[in-house]
Amino acid sequence: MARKKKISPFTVLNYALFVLIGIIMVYPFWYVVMYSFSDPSRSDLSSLYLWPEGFTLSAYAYAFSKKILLTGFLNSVFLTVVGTAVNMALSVMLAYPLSREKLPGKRFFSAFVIFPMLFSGGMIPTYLVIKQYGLLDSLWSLIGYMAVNVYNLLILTKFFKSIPESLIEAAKIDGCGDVMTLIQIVLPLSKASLATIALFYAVQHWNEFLYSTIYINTDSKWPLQVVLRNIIDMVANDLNNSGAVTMNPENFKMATIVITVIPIICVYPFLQKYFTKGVMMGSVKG
Amino acid sequence: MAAGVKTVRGAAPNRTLWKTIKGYKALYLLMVPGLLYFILFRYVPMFGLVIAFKDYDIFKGIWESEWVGLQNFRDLIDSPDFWNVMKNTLVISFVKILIGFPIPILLAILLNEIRHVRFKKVIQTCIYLPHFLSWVVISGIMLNLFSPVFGLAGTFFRTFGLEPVNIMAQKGTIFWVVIFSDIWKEAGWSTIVFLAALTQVDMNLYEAAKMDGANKIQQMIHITIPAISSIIIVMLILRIGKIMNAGFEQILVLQNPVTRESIDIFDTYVYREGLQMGSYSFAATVDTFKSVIALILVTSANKISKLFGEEGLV
Repeated sequence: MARKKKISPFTVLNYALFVLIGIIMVYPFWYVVMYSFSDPSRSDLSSLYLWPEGFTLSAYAYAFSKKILLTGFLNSVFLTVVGTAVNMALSVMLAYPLSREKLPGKRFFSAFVIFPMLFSGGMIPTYLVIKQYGLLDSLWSLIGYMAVNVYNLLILTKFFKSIPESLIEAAKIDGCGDVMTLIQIVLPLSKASLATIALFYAVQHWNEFLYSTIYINTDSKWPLQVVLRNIIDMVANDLNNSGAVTMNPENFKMATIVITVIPIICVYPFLQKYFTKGVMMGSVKG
Repeated sequence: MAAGVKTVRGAAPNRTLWKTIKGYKALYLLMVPGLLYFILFRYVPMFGLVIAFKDYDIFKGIWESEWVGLQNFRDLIDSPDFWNVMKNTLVISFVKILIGFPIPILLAILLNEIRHVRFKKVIQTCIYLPHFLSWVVISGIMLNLFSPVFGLAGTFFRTFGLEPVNIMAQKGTIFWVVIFSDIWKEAGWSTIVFLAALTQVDMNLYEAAKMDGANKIQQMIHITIPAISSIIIVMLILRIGKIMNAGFEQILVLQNPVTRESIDIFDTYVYREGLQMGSYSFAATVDTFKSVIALILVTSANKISKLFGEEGLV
């Protein structure tokens, strides 16, 4: 009995290792936050370690005075809200029929939605096609192109399949049509899964950068990620020119990063509650 | 609808089949918007790949441009850039797997040994976080941290009396920056699958091993790893199936004109040649080449993983 209480060197090392790993994962964010609040006039910010040097909100005031950041934020909010709504509508409407074993042609439709996971037209033909649709330089190109994520669709289908057939049959006997069954029986039973998928979609929209750079040219239509990317680049160029900028560009950059990340941090606790389940609902069996 | 016919059991007369289908009318109608999406945004671009066999003319469009046969593919083989991006894509993917694949397994096994529930939760919160941040954000953080002028890296070099170098702007070091930043971002997240597999391991085995005097390391080697070996193999196969994707977004934001050549991969090359330079046909040819190889790899990976009794990702 007494031996059980003894803490082995392995346990000590293991805890120490994870403390170290935890610090490596989180410190960069703390560093950015610290930097963004530090006083830009102190020239020696390279000595930042644990606590801001001075404290000022000037980097944030400067950031919010930039019109492009504001439009970027609003564009990203629009994309995330409307995009996720479209995602959920289309995914539910596709996943439910695909989850019905008896649907004639089910195997064909499943193959039809899975094949694009294996093979795609690629960047160039997709770009040219979106151009032909007249969607280039419009936020709708992103909402359209990202309307269904096959992986999320499959997770949702799997979940709908796990709903007992007897419940659905019972609803049918009570005279519920397929659509009513979906709305009144299936959806209320799937709240947690729907929340998981919606969060995945929302984060995907918020973080989306690649397609925005490809499809959107006008800077007033840029989502926040593209704006941030350009601030990072522009700042680098400014530094090469001279010290003529009124704001220390690095502080401005760090404040922009914090603004970009805050919505993710806000939903992170909810995400964390659901994502393990979400990942395991996916096809990989544990 | 031809495939629909096959799934109905027995040789039902056509009228009955029609009746069955009509019974599902509402479900078919529900699928229409989603299927339309797949046709418009996924299947039509596949046909757009024909421009790999054409000389794309902006004014004539995809369908009217002139056919050039395999000319684009000949240009491809003659292009030194092509062989460079091919080499980079394979090497970056390979090293990412070689170093990045075992780390989450090790982390999961070690994390599984931690009995303090609160501590474990806090650590999980920390290590999953980077997965949810975009590469743009991460590159912004890295550019500052690793800057020899104002970043921590500069301080680090000066403390040890070394000449500060910018590891993100040098040909020799950018490769490792790509590898390790990817591990930093995804290693924690990748533990989830293995952690879940570990909860299935029979605890009695450990008790028995303890009786026989096995220490922690021996228990890991002889019980834990064999118990999760099938999931390890499946994850590895699926990862290898995606070897043609070496990390488009990551490399796009991390490369600069100096480091470009040493980390240029298929996707960044296609992006630059096609969308920035306007050589649509040539870029699409490179993409076709990549897609076909990826298709072969992914389908084989799924076939093989099914042999191990696990479902693939698709």
